[in-house]
Order: sequence, then C-alpha cells, then structure tokens
Amino acid sequence: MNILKRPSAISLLYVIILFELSAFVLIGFMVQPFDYMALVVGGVMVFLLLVQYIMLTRFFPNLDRYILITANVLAAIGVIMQYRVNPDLAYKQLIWLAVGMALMVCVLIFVTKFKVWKKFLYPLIILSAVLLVSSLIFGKTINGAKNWFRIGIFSLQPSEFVKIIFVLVLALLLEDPKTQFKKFIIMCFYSAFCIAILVLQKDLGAALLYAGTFLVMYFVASGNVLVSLGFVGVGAGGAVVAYNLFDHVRARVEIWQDPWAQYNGKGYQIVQGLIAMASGGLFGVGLGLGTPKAVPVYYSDYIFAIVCEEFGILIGIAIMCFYLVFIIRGSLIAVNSENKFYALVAFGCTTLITLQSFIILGGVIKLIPLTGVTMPFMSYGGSSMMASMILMGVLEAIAIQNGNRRLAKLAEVESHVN
Amino acid sequence: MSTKKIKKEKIEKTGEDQNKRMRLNMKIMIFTVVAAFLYMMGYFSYTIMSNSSKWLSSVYNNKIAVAKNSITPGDILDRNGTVLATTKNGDRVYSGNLETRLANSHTVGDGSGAVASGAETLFSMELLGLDDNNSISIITQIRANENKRGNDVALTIDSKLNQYIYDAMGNNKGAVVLMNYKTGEVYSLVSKPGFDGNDIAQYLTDDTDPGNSELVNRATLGRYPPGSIFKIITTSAALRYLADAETKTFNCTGSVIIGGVKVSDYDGEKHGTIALAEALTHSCNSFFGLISQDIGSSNMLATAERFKFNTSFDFSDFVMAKSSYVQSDQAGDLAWSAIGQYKDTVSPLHMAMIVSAVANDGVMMEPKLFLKSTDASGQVQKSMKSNTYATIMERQEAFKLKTMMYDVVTAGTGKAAAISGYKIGGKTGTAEVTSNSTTKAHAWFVAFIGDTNHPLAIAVILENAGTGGSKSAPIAKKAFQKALDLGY
Repeated sequence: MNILKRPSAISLLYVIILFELSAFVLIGFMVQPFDYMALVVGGVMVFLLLVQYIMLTRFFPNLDRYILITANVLAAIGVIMQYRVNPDLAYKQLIWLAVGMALMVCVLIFVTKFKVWKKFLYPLIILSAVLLVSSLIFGKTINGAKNWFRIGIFSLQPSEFVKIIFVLVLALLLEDPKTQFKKFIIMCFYSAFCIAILVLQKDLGAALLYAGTFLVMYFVASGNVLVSLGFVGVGAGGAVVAYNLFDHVRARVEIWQDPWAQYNGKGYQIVQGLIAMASGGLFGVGLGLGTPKAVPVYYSDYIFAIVCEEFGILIGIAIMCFYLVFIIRGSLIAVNSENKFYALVAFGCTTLITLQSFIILGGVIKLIPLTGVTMPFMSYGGSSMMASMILMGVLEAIAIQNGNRRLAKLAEVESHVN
Repeated sequence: MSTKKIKKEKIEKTGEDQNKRMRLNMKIMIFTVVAAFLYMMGYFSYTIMSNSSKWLSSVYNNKIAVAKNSITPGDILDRNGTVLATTKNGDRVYSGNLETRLANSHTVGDGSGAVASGAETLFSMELLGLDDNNSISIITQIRANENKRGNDVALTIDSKLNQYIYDAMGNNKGAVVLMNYKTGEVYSLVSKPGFDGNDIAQYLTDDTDPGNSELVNRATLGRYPPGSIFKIITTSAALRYLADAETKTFNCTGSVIIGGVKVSDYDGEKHGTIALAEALTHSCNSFFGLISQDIGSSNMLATAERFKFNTSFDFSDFVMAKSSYVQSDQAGDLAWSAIGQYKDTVSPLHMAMIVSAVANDGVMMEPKLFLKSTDASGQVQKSMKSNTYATIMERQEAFKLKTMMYDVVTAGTGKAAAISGYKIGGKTGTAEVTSNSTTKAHAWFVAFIGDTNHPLAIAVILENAGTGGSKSAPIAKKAFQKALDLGY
C-alpha cells in the first residue's frame, strides 16, 4: 500500500532495475559464450534491492526512501564495474553488500530501541582509542597506509568503523545546551588524539575526514563562529606543519599541482585517471569497451574514473548528484529531528558521507590533492561497504523516529479536532 | 514557586532557541555543501572538456599502445627521406646501421614504450592514422583503422648530421641540439650514449651502468647546471634593470666575497677593471656576482622566468624538463645563481631555444620535430607550421647581447668556435657539479650564426669533460661546419 502512495520512489526503482539488468546482460555478451554468471549476479542484485526495499518500507513506513535508493544505485554501479573488470571481486563485493544490508537493518533496529547512549560515553571513547591504537601497533601496511587490521582471513580497516563511534562521541559531548568546559576539553583532546593517530598511520584521507567532521559538528552544535574559525586556523596550521614535516604530504601536493611531471612515479595514477575520464567523453565509450585496468586501484578509490570512461561524464555528474541527494536527505533528517543528540548524530553521519565523497571525487578529478579514501557505497571493500551501510542504518533509524513522532502529533491533533 | 517555574521555562526556552539555532547552522552547512558540489560538477565538466584532447594524445595514453596491435604504424623518416623506423612482419625495426640507430635513437624513440620521449610515442597517433582533433572518438577511429596502415611521419632532423655530431662527441656523454632559429626546426638532436632500438631489452636489465642512462634523452630531459652560459640571462637582466649597465665597472681581483660567500673566477684569473661587455667576453664570475646584487633577486627571478625558467613546456613535439631558477634573499646565493650555479638547472634544448631567441631578435620559436605526415597513398596529411612561442627580449636588447656574444668568439673564451667567413656569436660555460675538485665540470657551449641565410643555433654539453671553451666550442664549430656543408 505504502509503495503505491509514493509513485516517484517506486518508478525510480524500476529505472534502477532496468539499468542493472541491461548492464549485466551487456557484460554477459562481453565473452564468448554468453556469461550466464553475469545474469545471476544481476538477478541477485535486483533481488537484494527488492527484498530490502519492500521489507523495510513495509515494516518502517516512515523510512527515507531516497537515501535507500541512492545508496543502492551507487552500490549497483560499483558491483557492475567490479564484475566487468574482475568477476571475483564482484562476488566478494556482493557478499559484502548483502552483509552490509543485514547489518544496516540490525543497526536500524538497535538505534530505534537503544535509549541509554549517555551511559556509554566513556566506554565508546575507550573503545575507539583502543581500536585506533591497536591498528597503529598491530596494523599492516596496505597501499602505503598502516591502517589495516587482520582478523583471520579478513583485512579490516578500523578507522572506517571508528568514524561512526567518533560521531556518536562528539554528539554526546556536544548535546548539552550549554557546552560545559570540561566536555569541551575532552572533545578537543579526543579529536586531536584520533586525528594524530591517523596522521601517524599515514592515512591522510581519514585524518582529513575526521578533522572536517569534528569542525562541522562543533560549528553546527555550538554556533560559535569564533571558536570554529580558531579550529580552522589550527587545522590549517597543522596542515602547514604536516606539509613541511612529512615527505608524503609534500609529494601529494606536488603531484596534485603537476601529475604529468612525475608520470613514471607518484603521478601515474592521477594521469591514468584523467586519461580514462577524458576517453569517455559525454556518453562514455560503452560498458566493456574501455581499458579500466590501466588505472591503478580502479576497483576502489579510482572507481569513479573508470565509471566515467565507460559510462561518460554525464553519468559521472549523475553520481555526484546521487551523493548530493543522499547528503541533502540525510541533513534534512537531522534538521527534522527534535532531539539534539539524534540531530547531531544524523548530521555527523551525513557529514562523513559528504566529506568522504568530496575528498575522493575532488581528488580523482584533480580539484584537490588526492588522499586515499574510498567512495562510499561504490568502492570495493568490506570495511568501507559495511561502514557506509551502518551510517545509513543510523540515519534511517533517526528518520523513522522523526516520522513516528510526526504521526503521533498528527494523531494528537486529530483527536483534538474530534 | 513562581521563580522556579520561570527558571524552568527559561531553560526550556534557551534549549529550544539552541535547537533553532542549530537547525539554522545545519541549513547554512547544507547550502555550503550544495555550493561545493555544484562547483565540483562545474570544474569536472570544464576540466575534462577543455583538456581531453591534450590528455588523450598524451604519450602516456595506454589506449594508443593497445591500438598498435591492430593497426600497422607508419614509418619514421628523417627530413631527407631516410627511413629510421619501419614495421616488418609485424615487428618494429630500426635503421639497418648501428651507428645510425644510436645517433638517432632519442629523436626516434622506441615502439615498446621504454623510452617515452621520442617520435614513436610523441607522434603515435599520427603513425596510427588517428586524429585527436577529430570529433569522432579515438576508440571509434581505432576500430575503423583496424588492419590498416597508419601514416608515415617525416622528422625535421637530418640523420646524417645527427650521426656526424654523435661521432664528433667522441667518448663523452652529453647532448647537442642544433636548430633553425627562425623556424624552430630542430635539425639535429643528439643524446649520448644513445640506445639500440632493435635490442632495447639489454638496457632494461639490472646490471646496466646507471651512470650511462642510455634511455634518458639528455637533450630534452637533462637538468644540468648551466654555469656561465646563464650569464646571457644575467646580462639581459642588467640591460633591462640597470640604467648604467653598459658603463658600470667592477674591479676583478680573481675572487670576491659576497654576503660572506667567496665567488671565485676560473683558475683565479684576474680580469682587472671591466664593464659588462668585457665581463661576458671573458666570463668574469666576480663581475656577474657583483652586478647581480644591483639587479636584485626579484628582478633576477623575473628575468629567468622571462627566459622561460620555472615554466612547464607544453610543446606538441617534445617532452621537456622544466628548467629551474630559485630566488634567494642570501647575497651569496644570488651571486652564485647569477653565474648559473646555486640551484639553477636547464635542459640543452631549452638552452638552444634561448640562444635562438637572442639570434632571432628576442623571439623564441617553438621547437619543432614533426615535419610532415603522408598517408599510404602518398598524400600529405599534416605538415609543420612554425610557431612563435614567446617574445622574451626587445630587439635592442637582443642586438646588444648578440654584439657581446660575437666578441666571445672573436676575442674571448669561445675562440675555438670561430669559422672564417661567418659571424658566430657564442657563450662558454663550465658548470661545476660538485665542490669536489677531482670531478671535472660539465662543458657547455651555446652559439648561433649571425647570417639570415644560415639561421643556425646550437647548444652543446659534454658531461664532466672540462671547460666549455676547450671541449664544447670545437664540437659546436664542427657541427656548424657540417650543417653549412649540408646546405642549412
């Protein structure tokens, strides 16, 4: 019933299903004989999408459909590209997607039921600190950053999960109408500690993400422009110090200014990404006709470049729009929440997605220096996918609360009228 | 009771106000984010649309390499039609003569992509018959050209001249660029040691001598300290910024202390009281160190940048290293930078362009390697067009510099380059590489022929060979002589 009430969302769903199926049919024709596994993967994608959408909208009519759908589109484009380049990656990604969806539902239910966050401020602080420090000590280095953690056969990236705890902790600390001085100090130390560890791990993208999220959440909660500007100053100072202190920071800036000068070295990835995007033109060379393997890390950080090559700049801009839709809807959930803590959590989660997508998109198109973060929902990787899905679960939980409250108010008004 | 109630209301009210305030802040942030994303979309479309043809035709585009599997690339010829590279039975082969292969290796490049600075890579689109300015996408063109043969490309270089100069350099490592200063055509570009394009694998093993770097094009990618040839730039700065530049004198006692740093002349030679023209003729370090203090560091930087230091060269026919000039507020550094040491670096091709600009009344031409392309039926597809790259000096300034540079060859350090019957202007350079006196300096010589019928300019560098006047000037003379004999 609810589905029929919202024709725009459901028609979007049809378009997505058509897009996914036609893409997988095309990929199936890439090899001789026809690759039926592509159809299976496409079918599973559509099945997951429908089950998730129908079940969730049935049980939680107040859920934000647009967030759900945009996340699914982005994930679908990711799996399509991964299957097209390397089916093995796509199978794994599909599992991560399914696990992520389940996790999202769990988080959604948990956040709607769990009411005693305040008691968990210090345990959360300690948990996040332990996770970050242990990855610094026991972590192994992948792609130049020591931010991975091996458990059995899985490599996990703790910073992907800690960022959610980070938002929760900040929201708890900033919740009081009058920010107490003690809490302010705890907040500063905690944030500085997390960022410092990430810098030590050479995970500059994550450090930037945390710092930006801290700044945005503080500004939104306190409205204190002067102190916010002070933090901007500290951040800029830190950036200058890092630039002068660390070779890898300087190298990032140099290759951003002129990647062609270091083509055979550090500029290689950026140059190949630019060439890939330029090859696509407006409409792309067509799915399966590009040479995505020329771009290093094409399956993760650089997935945007190879999507642009095969689907064209227009789809590239559409992807940016999808993120923007997600961000605007996420922010509106925060704006509509009447509880300051949940409003801050929702806004923090949205800010994580905002900054993360902007940092990597801007880096790939050479608008800002490239720092390695994953594209939320699109990049290959379990940690990234699960973290993004958890973020979405938290957002949806708060959206459901908002909706329930609105319905309750409506019922109240109606009873008065009667 | 009532005060308590009021207080409670007040707190609730401030709480509500705070929430309102927070919503407003959130809305501000949303608008900021929307603006940032819109800007990103605009930048993205703009940067791709305005740069795509440049990026696609870039030597680093692997798609072109893939296209070579389905399209037969055309031949590479020199300006007289001598075949330097061709495709036989699907394999790329280079000239049958080893000497020719070595001497021309860096202009021709190689098809496998190990050397990405030669004609093979630079003109790969043309060799495959692809057109980057075409509205049809490259991928479509590649498919249309499948199993066909691309275009033949003729270069501006003369392979005989290249070979002659390669031999004349003897056992020295280094580079020579000889070009037409009116058109920008490069007649000869040699980087020694060269490589054998028919057996590129031998240079890719681990046990090759890294000091040889056969695969690096020293002429375009070498970043050498210019040494005294940089005094051409310092002289130009003096002429522009100092009213008394030509009359001002300094007393050279063989060395001078500037800002606590000793700047000494070659072999401690004392030039006495001299003015600018004489100082250039005899390459007096003390004079130029002192006059740089009057010119000032910002004017020195401005002049170096006028001569295209610190500039990314964006030429269609060459991949060139950026030359660098670093400004320093230390008097000693400024003095050393004015005589081409400190952190100054330059490529031989850039130096050839600079001396060409002096000879060409201050107009710097874009260097050209591509002469013309012809398709399978013999029809000319594209041909060279001369381009003015920049006007770096006024005519008057160039005239004064030329006059001083003629003196260098008639009466100064460059006598070894003199050819009877021709007005040759030049400048020697002996660029110190380390403070270690056992390592010999790089020998530089740049020169031009002051004759509109033979508009030739040259830059010669021999690595660790000694002084420019004794080692490089004779090579320049021989090269000019040969070029004149060949009718250029």
